[in-house]
Amino acid sequence: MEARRLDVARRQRIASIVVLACVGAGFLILAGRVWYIGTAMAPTLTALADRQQQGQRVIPARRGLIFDTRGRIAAGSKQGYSVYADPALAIAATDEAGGSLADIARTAATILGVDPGLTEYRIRTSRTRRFCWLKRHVSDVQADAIRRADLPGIRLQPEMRRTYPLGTRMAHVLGVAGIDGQGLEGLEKAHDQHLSGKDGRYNTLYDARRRAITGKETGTVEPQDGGHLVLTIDAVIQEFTEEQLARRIEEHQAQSGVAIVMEPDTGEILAMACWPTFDPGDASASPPEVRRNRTVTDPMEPGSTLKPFVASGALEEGVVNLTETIDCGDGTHSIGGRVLMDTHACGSLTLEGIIVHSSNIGMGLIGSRMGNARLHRVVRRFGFGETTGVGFPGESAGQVAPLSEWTSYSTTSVPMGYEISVTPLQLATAYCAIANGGILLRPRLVKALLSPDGQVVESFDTPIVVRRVLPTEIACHMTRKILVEVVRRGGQPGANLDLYEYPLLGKTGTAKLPYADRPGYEPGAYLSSFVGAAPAGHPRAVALVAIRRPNPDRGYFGRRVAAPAVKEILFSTLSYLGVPGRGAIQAGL
Amino acid sequence: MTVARAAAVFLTFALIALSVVYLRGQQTRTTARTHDLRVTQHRLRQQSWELQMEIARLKTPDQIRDRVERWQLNVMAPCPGPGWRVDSTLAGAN
Repeated sequence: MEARRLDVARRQRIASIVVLACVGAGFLILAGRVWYIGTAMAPTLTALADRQQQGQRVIPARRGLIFDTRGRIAAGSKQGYSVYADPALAIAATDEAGGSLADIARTAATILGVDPGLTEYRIRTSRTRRFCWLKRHVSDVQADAIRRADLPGIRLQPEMRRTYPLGTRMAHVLGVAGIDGQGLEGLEKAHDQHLSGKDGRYNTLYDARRRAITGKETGTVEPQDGGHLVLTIDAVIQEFTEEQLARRIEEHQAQSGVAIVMEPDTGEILAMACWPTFDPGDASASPPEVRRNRTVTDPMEPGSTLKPFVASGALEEGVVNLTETIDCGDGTHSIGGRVLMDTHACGSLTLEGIIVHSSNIGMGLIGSRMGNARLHRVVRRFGFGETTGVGFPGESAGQVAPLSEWTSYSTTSVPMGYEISVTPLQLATAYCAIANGGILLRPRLVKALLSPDGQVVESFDTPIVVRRVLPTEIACHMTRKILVEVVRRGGQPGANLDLYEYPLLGKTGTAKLPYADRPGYEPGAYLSSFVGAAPAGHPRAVALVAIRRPNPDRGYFGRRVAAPAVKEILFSTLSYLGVPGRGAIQAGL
Repeated sequence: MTVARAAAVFLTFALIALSVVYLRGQQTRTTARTHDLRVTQHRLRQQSWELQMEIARLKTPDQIRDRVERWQLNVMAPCPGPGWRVDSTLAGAN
């Protein structure tokens, strides 16, 4: 009996020990597991938890504004929305509620105007991810519709959107900003670093449905807005210029055109236009060749508009004087085995007559007297063959071959404005040098850089002198006499271009266009141009208009195609700037 | 330890606990208020940008000219614009 009791007691003890051992082992295993999770797996699990629970909310910074010279906003930013999907959440929500992902995708796609099948495919293939763009920069109406639809896993992301209150005005100057607000073309690109802001952010905790838990934000970084830019361009003058350019191109059924208005005393560019134009707010709708600012990127053979530079250089070099006459013959003349032709017989002409009648023969003879070395020096001195330094991306230096490559042909071709190519901006800048008394100034598009709160960071108000290119007396003779006579007498009878209010000076140009793919000039293809300035004597504005490939049936001479536009642009510009005209001066106002 | 001392200790702990709860509540409310103010600040910032752009659009020469014409305002539009010039002025002069 006693033995049996002892046996039971022993078995109970053993059982207790076994149970205790099992429990102890269980605890040990659990402790080991806890230790393993707490140490070895900790980094992975912490990262997973952070990814699930934490997130960053972006506080968008504003890209800087671009103002015209009078403080009108030409480019700015405002908040818009983009739509993204949280695929993991969308799929989990449909699994829980028994809905269909296809329905969510279809509803979202219908609102956003995108393909429903593609939307569903993108969500499904990103099922393990928490972010997938559905559409960037949606309209306000679409954003409201998405908000109202409250689709599981479909969210709005605030993003800054570049807007251009002036519409297509100044499009080629302003350029293009990309979908993420980075400058891609034009001044948006050139000053991207100054204009760009830096987004702020705050970390926040999210619940299982990715809703932010209020009051759990940590580590806020405030956004830094971008600086602003003030241009020299005046939106009103830009408007005249673009309208005149467009009107002339339409009237002459031309391919394209460019126009520039500059202030000769400061080098400031008041207007810069290319046609056809584009909408900078929807730049992708236009091909790159339309978006290019051809006033600085595309060189052209200037034709007769180059003649005043060669003529003034010849005067300065002393190879010709103002009183002597040069026999330009009956309209055809052979120089060094090359036959030069004028549009009509000019006979004997003074230097003034050669410019007024735009005589190719006269210029060829002057070129022969000068020789290649002097010609090359004169052309380079006016800034042709080098960039102007305006600070615009993609600026071309034009093409002036090295002197060693010039031939006997160059001696007669260059004075007529062929064999070299210049950008419209180089040409307008060189005319400014004649108009301001002989000083070549660097053209300027930007007047000042401002900080985000509007303080001046850097000012570019002072004109930048490149060099003196002409003695004052020669420049004044050109602006007060020779180029005024071009406008008054011109080539054809009754072709007076003068303005009543503001005496005008200028030079026409009608250059043949070369073939794109082979040597030689294309018949019937012209670049009609005119560079003018007013008021003669002390010009306050220089304007250039160059129209490419006008329909020859409607006229192609620069005087007929481009000069009327320059005349209108200068009249409007000067009256807008409040420059007193003849009428006001006579009335003693 | 007397009952009185025990009660005093208990009350002190209770007071501390209540204070902690109160302060924690205040902290949460303040954080929430800060968050609300920050959200409002950003919303106002964005609204001001939108208004600035709308004003910029209304101040463009095109828009001003349109309004001057539509409401027949007795002011001069910011630019002569097409057709502003009396052609005869120049035609006679030329």
